[in-house]
Amino acid sequence: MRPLTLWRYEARRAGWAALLGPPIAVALGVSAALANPRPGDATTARILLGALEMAVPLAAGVACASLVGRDPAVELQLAAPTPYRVTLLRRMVVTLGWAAVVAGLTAAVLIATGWWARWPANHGPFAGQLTWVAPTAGLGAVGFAAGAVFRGPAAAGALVTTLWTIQQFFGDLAQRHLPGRLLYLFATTRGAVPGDWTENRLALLGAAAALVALALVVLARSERLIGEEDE
Amino acid sequence: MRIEISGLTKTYRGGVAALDGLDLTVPTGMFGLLGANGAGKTTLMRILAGLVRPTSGRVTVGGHDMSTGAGRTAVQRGLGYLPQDLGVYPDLTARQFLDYLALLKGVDDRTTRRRRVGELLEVVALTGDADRRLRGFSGGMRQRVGIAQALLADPQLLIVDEPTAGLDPQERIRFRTLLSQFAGRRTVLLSTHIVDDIAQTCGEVAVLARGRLIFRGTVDELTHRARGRVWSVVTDGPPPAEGMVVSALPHEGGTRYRVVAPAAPDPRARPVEPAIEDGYLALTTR
Repeated sequence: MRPLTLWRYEARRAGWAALLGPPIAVALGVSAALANPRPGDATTARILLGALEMAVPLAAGVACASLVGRDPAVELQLAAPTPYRVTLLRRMVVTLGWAAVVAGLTAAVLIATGWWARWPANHGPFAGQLTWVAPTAGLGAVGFAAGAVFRGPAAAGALVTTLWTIQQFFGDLAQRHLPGRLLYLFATTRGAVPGDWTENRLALLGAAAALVALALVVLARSERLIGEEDE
Repeated sequence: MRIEISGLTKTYRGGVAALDGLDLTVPTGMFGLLGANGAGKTTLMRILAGLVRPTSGRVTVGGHDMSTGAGRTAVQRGLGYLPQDLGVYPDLTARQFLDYLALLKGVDDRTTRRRRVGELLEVVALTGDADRRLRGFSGGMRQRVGIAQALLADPQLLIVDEPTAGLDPQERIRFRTLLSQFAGRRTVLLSTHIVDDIAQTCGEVAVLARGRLIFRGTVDELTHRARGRVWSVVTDGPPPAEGMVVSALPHEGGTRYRVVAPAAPDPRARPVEPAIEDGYLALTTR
């Protein structure tokens, strides 16, 4: 077990986007709910859960996309006996962990105030947490893997936001086929085919694990990170 | 830590050969690596530090095979590395930066870490600035932080790539002295194109050109390569067309040129004693 101090340093290295993104996402969701002209109905509850299922994952995904490719001391990192990919994984864990704290606390408040239950497809207070866990892990992993492949936050962040936008605007198309249904990010608040919800959440978590594993394999080639690729 | 390199080749994307069949043995102690920009020094340093993998050939450091993950990790546990372009975290103070890197080097015990960081800040004369953020440091101060981080884990192998670039003369001398004191029974590989740094610190030196080894020997032997090929000419006309002009000093009646050339570049030229820089130029400008 490495000292807590090391995790504190990695939290700093994860950057402001990782720290501020999730609370801002929740704040935007709450603001949108407050601006709802018909407060108290299921639409407000949907907006609040939507902040957890849509906004927090997007913030976490963009923050994870910025982890690779902007480290000024990358050569020192690569020459250290602690593998750099482990360091990057630690930063990803910190980023997603903080998003989970923010989302978990928000969900607790929604449950305590009754807003959680007002959305008919809420899936309960326990299993229902997969509402934000699955897409946050999924988009976080997409961002991390894209960062590893593209070696730059801009391209990786663009991929995350493009994927999120496509699922927002072409959700109906995505749901016409089984793979699209299983990897649909917004199955709680935008609706899943009946019986698909649990499989969808588990598929997203599985895809996240596979993408992180892929990223770790790519990051093992240290020379890619200093721009010196073999022929 | 003895370094043995045989048949080392590194070809980058696009077919650029940074190293081309290099054979070299580096013994314990201070060892200099000279070469022009693009000679392959940085690639060699990165391979030895485990950052870059060779295209072909064999490298062992202290008996550890650098082509295996286990070998690279074993070397990195006893490695101090100062890259050519030292990047730092500007939001951290010098003390925090060293503390963080000590953790990455496996110094988990807090007391040991604090003591070691304090000692090294003292060694590089940064104790008074230890709690200032690195974004406010000058280039020379950052380089001193870089030196301190390289020494954190009491390395058996120290690889320093162009370490004195950007340092003022006093800092350069201080740094060279520090390296020499540190070397002892360790291996210090000093890569530079500042020939004087090698002359003042290293007993042995290798010269690379276009990825190949063109010289390996003592500093005296390198200097000797220019014997009979260094000339002094005073003229009020243009510099000699033949050979490489090493220096040009204003002189009564014109300019005194120091020239490295296979034969007298001017009827008025007279031979002079070579220095190491002349030896290096005689080797690389044939």
